Amino acid sequence: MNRFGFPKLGLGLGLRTVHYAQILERLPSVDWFEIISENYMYSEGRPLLYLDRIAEHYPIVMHGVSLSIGSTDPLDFEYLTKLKALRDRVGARWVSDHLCWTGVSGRNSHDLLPLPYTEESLKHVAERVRIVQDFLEAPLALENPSSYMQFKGSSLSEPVFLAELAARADCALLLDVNNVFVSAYNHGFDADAYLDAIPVDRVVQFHVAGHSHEGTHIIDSHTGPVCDEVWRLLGRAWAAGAEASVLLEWDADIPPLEVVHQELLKASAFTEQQLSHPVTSLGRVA
Amino acid sequence: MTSEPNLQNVQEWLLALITHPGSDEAASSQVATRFGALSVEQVLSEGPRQSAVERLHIYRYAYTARLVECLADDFGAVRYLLGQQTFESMCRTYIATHPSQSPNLNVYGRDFPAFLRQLAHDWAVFAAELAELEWALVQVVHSQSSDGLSPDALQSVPTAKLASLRFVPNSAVRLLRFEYPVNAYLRAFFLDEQPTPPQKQATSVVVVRAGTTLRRIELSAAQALLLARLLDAEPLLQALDGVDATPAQLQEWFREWTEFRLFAALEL
Repeated sequence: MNRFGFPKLGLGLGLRTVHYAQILERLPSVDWFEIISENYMYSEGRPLLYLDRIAEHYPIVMHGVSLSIGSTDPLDFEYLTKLKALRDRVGARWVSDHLCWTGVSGRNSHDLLPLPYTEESLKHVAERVRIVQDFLEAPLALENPSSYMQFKGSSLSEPVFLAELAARADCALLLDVNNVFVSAYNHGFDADAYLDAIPVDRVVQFHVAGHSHEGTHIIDSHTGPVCDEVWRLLGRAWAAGAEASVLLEWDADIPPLEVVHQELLKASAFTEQQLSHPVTSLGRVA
Repeated sequence: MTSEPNLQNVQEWLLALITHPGSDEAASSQVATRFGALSVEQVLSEGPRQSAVERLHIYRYAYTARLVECLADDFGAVRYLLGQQTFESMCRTYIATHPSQSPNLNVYGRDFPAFLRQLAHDWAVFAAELAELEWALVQVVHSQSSDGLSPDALQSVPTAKLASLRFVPNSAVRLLRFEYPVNAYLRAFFLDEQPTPPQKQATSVVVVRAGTTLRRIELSAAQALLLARLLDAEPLLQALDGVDATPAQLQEWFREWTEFRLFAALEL
């Protein structure tokens, strides 16, 4: 258990539609699954049927992309009501989203847009996080975003902003070490220094993923294997003492479950964590 | 904008830039006009290898690409029919005129069939009908589905009550009528048979989900007439008026419709 009372779940995978059948048929040795909240909270149909069945066998954590915690639009309580209902339905261990905004004036970009890191933004987001946590009656975990642009008006670095936000709102953090790597390249900052500025006792979850190197910039595409440097960053963050669960995201050109599973197992070498079920193949060992 | 823009100003300015359908230059100049001559270089910093405008372009490109991908997911057969280039061009026009106003991407394509229908192209009606069928599949996937009637539910209705009997439709049912054989085209597309656009031929199809299984059932004109009336909750006797079918045929239709869970309940 970490300071928020969230369990350390071990090594998990992002749940993706193409793997439903294989998961239900073989019950692979995975400690937990993370779902994209919006893929289920607006559906009353087939996605929920699969999720209910998978939740019978695995702990579920919810990860959202549309909370828009940084937007200057009013908080969307219809969204929050659906989010809470889904959490209660599947018994999700915690709920996370991103430090970003997705739209304003009622229009949605469906992208995770960065904020200017200013005192104005800090005050605004901290207040909204507190409201969301009161509504959910649970701590919210916020993820550091990957980004491709920065604001001239920013007066704080991203990790300092996150640390101050977490302290003011008393929220948890989801540390995506691939995002740290991507943004460090795109903006020219030191990824290790970034990690050093993050309050490790608030980190409840890590994300690792692949990315696409475009030369002038890196896109956080969640495709392909995790690169060595991102694994190293995970190991460094882990060694700092985070009581956190680890999750692999793979969202584009998704390979068979066996391939994703093998990639997840590499996390063991950097986190001293083993899957709670011994693995001889994809199937659970009795 | 005379003073330092606040967070709301910055967000409105940036979203206007990201969603602007024109070139980077057109977006910059037109949006700047609306926001007191606020320029990209004033607000965004350059990166180690890219200018501020090039960095903004990443978000502008991603905005359209994401929504095109969303439409392609929902309307794969329409994309095949139109070809990638025309489909993308149609998507870009749709995106420019239909900004997303919901956090739920599942609903983004709901106006796409109507958008296609009003286009001045000879393929517009068929493309719109194909899109309507694909959109019905999306709707049915996400609709709640009941367990449906038991196979003997009809037999247990007292004869005296049959005339006024009404059927409550399963929420995961859509009945569609077309000028073209749309379902045959979609089936051939799913089977990778590389279908070509068909000649006009009136058809009807009902889409239903039971559990995780989706079905598309083609209907004769008589079946479509009766089913449409039943789904509109017309009493059974009234619904049967003028329907060209023998008692044996009707019995078979009701057996099949019950088996496929088109109805959630009976109202006596």
